[in-house]
Amino acid sequence: MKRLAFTVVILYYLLLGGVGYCQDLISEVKDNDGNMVEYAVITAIPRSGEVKKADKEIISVIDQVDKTFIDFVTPIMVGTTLSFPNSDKIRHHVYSLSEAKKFEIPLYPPGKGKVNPVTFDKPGVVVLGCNIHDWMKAYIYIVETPFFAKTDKGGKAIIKNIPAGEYKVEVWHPHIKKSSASVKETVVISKGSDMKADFAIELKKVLSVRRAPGSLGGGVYP
Amino acid sequence: MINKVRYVVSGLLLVFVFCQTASAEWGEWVLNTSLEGGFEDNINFAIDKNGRLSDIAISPSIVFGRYYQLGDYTRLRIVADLKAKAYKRYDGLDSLSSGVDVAVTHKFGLGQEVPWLRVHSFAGYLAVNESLRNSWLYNGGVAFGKRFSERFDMLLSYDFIYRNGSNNKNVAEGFLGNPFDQVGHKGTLSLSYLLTERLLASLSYSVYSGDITSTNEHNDMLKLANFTKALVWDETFKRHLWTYKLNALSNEFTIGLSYALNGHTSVNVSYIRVDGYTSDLHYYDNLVLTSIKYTF
Repeated sequence: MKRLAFTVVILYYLLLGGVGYCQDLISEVKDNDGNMVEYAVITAIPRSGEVKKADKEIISVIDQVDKTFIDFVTPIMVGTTLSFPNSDKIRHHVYSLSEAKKFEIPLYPPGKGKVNPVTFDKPGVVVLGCNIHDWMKAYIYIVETPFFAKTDKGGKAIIKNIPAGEYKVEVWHPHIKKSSASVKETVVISKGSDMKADFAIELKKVLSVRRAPGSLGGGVYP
Repeated sequence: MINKVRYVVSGLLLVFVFCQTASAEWGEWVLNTSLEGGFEDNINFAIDKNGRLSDIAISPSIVFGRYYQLGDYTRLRIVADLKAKAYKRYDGLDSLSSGVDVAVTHKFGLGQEVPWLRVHSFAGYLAVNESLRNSWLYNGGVAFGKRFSERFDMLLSYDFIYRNGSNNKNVAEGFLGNPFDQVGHKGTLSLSYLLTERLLASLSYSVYSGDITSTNEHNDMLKLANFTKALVWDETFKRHLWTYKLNALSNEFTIGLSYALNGHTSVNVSYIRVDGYTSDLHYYDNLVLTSIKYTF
């Protein structure tokens, strides 16, 4: 009987109040004008420094649809392999000139699934382009923690099942200004209700190559 | 009969383009359409200030065809180009042109800011309501493009222009040649700058050296003979005028604004000023154009 009671207590502790207890970290990101910011990435880095290594089998996807990268921002953990399918009916020529990962997938035809795999083994930001369609641009944000999430159109991101503990929580966006308050040094995840970590960031005005035809008919690589 | 043959040849060229493009497996479609309307204050390029005639015109056009990738950095573009133009007052100028443009573009490496070079040639036929102006059109050139940032890009081009007038009626006695047989050279520098996410400003300067036609009222045939060898009497403008060929140097300035409605469509407005100089004479022309353009 005593053994049963002890087991119940241990299970209760492990499931609800112990080290293995998981919560969600919910973030809302706004700009300085109060507008919700899409494509911001929230990362939670354990203050203990103990970070689970990425499973090499992790495969994510950046697709190309209507001459546009899907999605505009893709956060991944170091060691993740991304594949680059092509859902258009034309060829694309994907490249990155970024320090975090330089690569080129020369002209390749439409194809679905795990095609053109590239493994990202260094943290940082990778800017993707298509050498045929200059307006095509996307970002890969490579992080060293498995705890990350991207904001949706409503500016909301949820990192699910984050173990209890102390975390440094950061926000990143392709157009974030360096002066933005982008770090919360210590956020404690503990039992009970979900934790919130909201950010107000400043965004740079960044203009990308325009796709639509110009008055002179030029504007993009013909 | 000759015109029929020419239309058949043009039609065959279009069918050729279509067949080539339809069977391509890894190319990319080209479909650009435009509806343009505008005002021109000297449609007859009159040198005499009192002889200047103005009109408004509307012009739909369509360019369709295919890109073929010849290599990782080189692409071939074959398109058919169809354009109609209708004038409000002077319907003798209403026209239909069709042609085929073939271009090879090479990009010198990887990235948005890498320069590219294009060589192209065009052959087409211009059918005008007043058949006096019917012509075969040929054009060949080279263009160099460079983007300096995501906002700013430049295009430098040279074109050789050859027009072959196909109707030799109305040639004035004592004059040889057709004023619509023309040869010219045109160099252009175009700059585009993105003002906002949707608004693109463009500036262009062209210099043209070669033949032009001017339509004027003249009674003194001997005087005309001093500066032209090609002269026809012309009723395109609903009166008896003379159209003749001159060798001129023209400067053309264009300023344009383009607003993107979405990734495929833009609304555009532009102003063009042309100043032409012959050995003794000067003519000028002002155009204001608005258009809506769609790119597939």
